[in-house]
Amino acid sequence: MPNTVIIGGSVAGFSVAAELRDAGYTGAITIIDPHETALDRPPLSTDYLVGDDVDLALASDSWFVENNVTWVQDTVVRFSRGNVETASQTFQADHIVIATGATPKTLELPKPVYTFRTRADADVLRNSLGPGVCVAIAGGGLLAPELATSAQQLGAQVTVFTPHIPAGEVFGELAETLYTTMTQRVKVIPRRLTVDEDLDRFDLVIAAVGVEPAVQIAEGTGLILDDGIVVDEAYRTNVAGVYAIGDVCRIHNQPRQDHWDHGRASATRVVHTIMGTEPPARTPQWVWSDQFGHDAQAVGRVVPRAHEHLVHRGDNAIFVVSDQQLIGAAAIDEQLVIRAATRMITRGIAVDPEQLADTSVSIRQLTR
Amino acid sequence: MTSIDIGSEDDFPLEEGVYIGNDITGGEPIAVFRTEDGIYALNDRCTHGNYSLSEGWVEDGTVECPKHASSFCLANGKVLNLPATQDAPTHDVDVVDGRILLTPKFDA
Repeated sequence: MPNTVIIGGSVAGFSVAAELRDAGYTGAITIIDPHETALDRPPLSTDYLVGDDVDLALASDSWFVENNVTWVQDTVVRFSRGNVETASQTFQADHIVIATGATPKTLELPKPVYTFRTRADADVLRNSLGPGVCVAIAGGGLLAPELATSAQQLGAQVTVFTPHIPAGEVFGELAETLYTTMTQRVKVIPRRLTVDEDLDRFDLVIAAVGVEPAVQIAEGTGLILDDGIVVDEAYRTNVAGVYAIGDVCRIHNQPRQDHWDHGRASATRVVHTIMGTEPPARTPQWVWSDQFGHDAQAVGRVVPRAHEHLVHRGDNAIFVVSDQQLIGAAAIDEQLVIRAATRMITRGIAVDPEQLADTSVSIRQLTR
Repeated sequence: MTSIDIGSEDDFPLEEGVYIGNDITGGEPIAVFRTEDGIYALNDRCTHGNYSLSEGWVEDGTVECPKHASSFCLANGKVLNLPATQDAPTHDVDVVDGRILLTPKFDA
């Protein structure tokens, strides 16, 4: 009887289990993760942090029974080909999928610095942020503006330290719009947060300064590590029967991707690798961020290179076009633009920049 | 449960969702979708979060939530991909003599 052990049960690891069953995999499936069940983390920085009643579970307990997927609440301490060990148990495995994700970087400051990644992190901040609390949030990515939004909603006095316009690579020109909104809503200091700052004026300091792949258990196993566990496009490592997906991996010759959608998409592909089936066409990278009442989304690459065209559709949507092919799109509060752009890219639909720019032409129409 | 006349077929463009508010449904808002294959009704609110499925992308018998792209089967409400994990509740809807009749199935 073949069996698969998945190390880490957030969206990437959980999706492997679910999609293996959908694909008809009949072997045993075990997920080993320190949490009590599979949790989705994107709502943590927004709805969950401000105290909304959010169900973070990716599946019900009955789902695990019905799908014969075993959840082991434990921490893997080591593995080798065919074998996964926690402090107290050993699991045999034909396939080992490493989906341990990433851990936040922090700042060295003469003051406690909070980071934000897990539900436990969110619980701590949920109890600490409130009216009158002065909080400094450092970071130049998606997380800092999201945390700033939630902290302000909880009544805190927010100061964001960012050395550049956050998420410029992700949202392209629209990152400037998001930045302007943030400067109107909270205090923004356009530099890094360092020891030179007067930190006494802050009750709380949060570092949202990026993540590192959680490769600890892979150290010394013979896996190639280089800013993540290095994998091929089928998410195979250099050791047979061992795969790595999501935030912890990096496809050789590509930058590492640490977004929710890559967790899900890499799970889909590794399931095809395990099942020996042909994967569907690669989907373009997709990212969303909820900040200051706006929904920013991007798909593909939205910063144009030489000979590519940047197309504006109104003030809140942009496209990058190369020879009638859509390379990427970003939009604020215009989700259908992203849904359409995803189809245009995945299906290779030829696009006309003039029509893309024309808000009187339905974006849906352009995908047909 | 009695059925409600919510308009004529012409009020429901093909491959699009139409929002039916709670003032009409008597319960939660409902999204009604007319496709080449039939007419369908789901709870309007995406089971993943506060977003309107009537504004979603209708294609191949599914509706994709515009917010985070979870898809639902129009015929049975089954959720087809993450991040949503719960199926969308369905309601009965029929075309009778060119009129759209909606029969909400809210729990009493």
